[in-house]
Amino acid sequence: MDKPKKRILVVDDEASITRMLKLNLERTGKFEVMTENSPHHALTAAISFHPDLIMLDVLMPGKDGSELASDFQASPALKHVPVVFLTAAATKDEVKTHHGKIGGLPFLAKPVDLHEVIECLEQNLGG
Amino acid sequence: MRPDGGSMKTEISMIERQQAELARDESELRYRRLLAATTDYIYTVKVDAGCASATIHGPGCQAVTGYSSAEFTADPYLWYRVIHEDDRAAVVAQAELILKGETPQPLEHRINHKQGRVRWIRNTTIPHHDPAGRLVAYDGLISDITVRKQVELLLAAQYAVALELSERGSWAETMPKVLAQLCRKLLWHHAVYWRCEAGRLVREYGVWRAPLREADFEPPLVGMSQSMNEGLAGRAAKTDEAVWRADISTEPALTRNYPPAHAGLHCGCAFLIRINHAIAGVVEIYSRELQEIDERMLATLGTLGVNLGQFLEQKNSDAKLETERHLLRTLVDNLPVCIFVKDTESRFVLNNPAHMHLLGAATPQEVLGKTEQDFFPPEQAARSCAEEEGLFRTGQPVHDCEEPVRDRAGREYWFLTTKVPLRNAAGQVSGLVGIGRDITQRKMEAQALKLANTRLARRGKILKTMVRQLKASHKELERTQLQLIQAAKLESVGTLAAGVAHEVKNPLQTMLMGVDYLTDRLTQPDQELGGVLADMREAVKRANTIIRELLTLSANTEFQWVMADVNGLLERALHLAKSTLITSRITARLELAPDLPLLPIDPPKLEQVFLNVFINSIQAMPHGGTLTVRTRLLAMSETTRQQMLFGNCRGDEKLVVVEVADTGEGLTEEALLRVFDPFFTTKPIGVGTGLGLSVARKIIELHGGAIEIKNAPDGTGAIVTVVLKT
Repeated sequence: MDKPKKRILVVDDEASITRMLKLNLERTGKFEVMTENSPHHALTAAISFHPDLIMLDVLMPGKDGSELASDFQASPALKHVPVVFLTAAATKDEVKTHHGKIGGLPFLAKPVDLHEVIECLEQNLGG
Repeated sequence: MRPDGGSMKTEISMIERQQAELARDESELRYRRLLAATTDYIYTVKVDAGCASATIHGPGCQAVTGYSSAEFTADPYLWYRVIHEDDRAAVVAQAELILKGETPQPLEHRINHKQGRVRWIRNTTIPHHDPAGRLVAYDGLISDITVRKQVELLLAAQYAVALELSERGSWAETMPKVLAQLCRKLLWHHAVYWRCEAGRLVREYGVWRAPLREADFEPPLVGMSQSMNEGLAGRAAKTDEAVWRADISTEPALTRNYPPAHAGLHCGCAFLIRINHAIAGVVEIYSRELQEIDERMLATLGTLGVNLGQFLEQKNSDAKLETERHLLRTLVDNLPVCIFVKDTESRFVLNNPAHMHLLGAATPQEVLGKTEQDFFPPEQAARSCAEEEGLFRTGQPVHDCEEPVRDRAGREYWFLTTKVPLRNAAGQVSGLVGIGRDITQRKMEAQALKLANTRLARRGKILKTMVRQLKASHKELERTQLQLIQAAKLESVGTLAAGVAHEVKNPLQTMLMGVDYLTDRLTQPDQELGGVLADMREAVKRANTIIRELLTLSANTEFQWVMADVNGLLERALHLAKSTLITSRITARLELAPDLPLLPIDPPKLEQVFLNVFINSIQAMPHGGTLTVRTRLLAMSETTRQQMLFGNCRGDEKLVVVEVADTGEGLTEEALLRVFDPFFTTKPIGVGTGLGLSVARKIIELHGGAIEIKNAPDGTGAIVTVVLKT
């Protein structure tokens, strides 16, 4: 029996990125991906989707990723859901220097390939 | 009875008597002739009971008085009226003395001649007494002394004027007195002085003698002027000689413009006052009587005119001298220089206020008769004295002698002194005149100027040295300036890159994900499609590398400082480049100094720097060669070049120098200037990012170090030098 697919919510204002991540991740058969391009609708989407992990862009118009993460933390339904940042604001060197975490939260520096994304997701989904 | 001899005696007696009578007749005749010819005459007054009862005037009375004996006999009071009214009292007094029995002194007085003129007579009386001693008559001898009296009056006037002139008063003081003396001594009544001025006569002074009163005439006449042809004065000026009239009232035209002439004045005379033959003025004198003026009087008045002219000239000259003296004194007293006069014994005779101030004296009396020894230090006084002795001996002046002077209060000055001999009328040196100018200020300024010039000269030398040094450093600065320009460009690129990076990474993310997706979708092995996707993945990674390096250029790069060994770091970097070295057939040579201290550095970043440097060097040797990596420890003072790199270093600091030398072709001049510019590259397109050395320099600079690249002096390639502070 196949493992149940992990539910991943991808929040990024760039629709091409969310679409490519959804395509690639779902093709692995391991993930069910919901995408949200508006940071303002992200909390509602998360509450309705019940994700196992949320991938968050950092710099978005209107509301940035760290604020959204705080919102998720404040929500009883989402406070235990792991968050991975996917950002263009950090470099790979910085990711390396800080051992993949900034402010205690894991993150990926754009551009990142599928292999690294899956590795990161699996690490943070706790098996 | 008379004896015979008696008749003879009688005859003789008769003859004698006849002879006596003859002689008496002749004598009487002579006497009468004498009486008729003389200006003297005798009158006889018979006295009866002490009173004059009859008077008989001798025939000579007509010559003296103009009246005949018969006229005197017919008019018993004529004799009284003939006497000048001013003298009548004196004549009456004389007669009373005689009637009292006394013999008075002869009396000189004036009479009015029948023709109106005044004449002077001398009246000598001789009393006759009867045997009882009673006065029965007296004779009077009248002598006409007019001529003598006029001479006497003239002499008296001349003498009085001479006395006034000798008083040496001013012209204004003297001239009215002279006019008054003329009136008083000549017994005339009005005198006036006209000053000759610009072709006209200006009435300057007038005096009046009783019975005329000054107050009646003088006030309206003040400042009166008339032409050179008006009045007696004008006539005299016009004709250039003295003129006179016995009675001006007979010539109304002559006195028309001069009111006093109508105040009962008759005789008038004007004589000239000359200075060197030129007419300076005219004196007019008037009498209320008809007067005779003879040549003698005119000559005397002419002499007076000359004397007055000389006096006036003297006064003019005195006034001129006084003006000059006053001018000279004003100059001497007010010139801002010390002026003094000394006698031949070097004693002060005159000192101006400036010099007295220098001497510390308040009044001339404190200085007069003293010498410099009384005021100045002995050696200074002796020097001055010796100088003056020379002047007196040779008669030669001493010009512009600069000398230090110390005054009584001990203040020091510098004076520029000139001393010239003072000569008397005979040309002998009688003293000296000294002029001293205080040049202390000028002297101080000159000294200050000299000092300033010396300083200037010294500074000039320093300046020359500095200019030389500046020129030397100028070239270096030009080079540094170019580097700074490049740094500024780099700064702006870094700022831009930070903004651009974020925007570029999102599309890169999409592309990378797209490549991943397409690769996964490639179910059939397709070499061509696989190649394209691999190139695309590589392109995305290269783009990301460029972005990363650009971001490194931004100032916000964080460093992790640790004390680390540069030699070890170099070895690790070289190891990373090992495969490239082998591929490029390049031999690496390490010449590492064993005594390098640990440095505070960020090892991964410095590794990145040296890896970049190595890669660049390797790429400069496409046909193989040798890569030499050399390290050494350098004291700051040992080399100027490194000092220029670290201008703010202390002299005792040490530097670690890393040199990476290749054996390539070296760089062009342009490349040497631009090699640290972002995106500048000499490599083929696609081979390098053009950011490697820019990033390297940024990192080195953030370590407080410097990096430069030069061609090897022997033309055997390029050398990259990195200098790091210990």
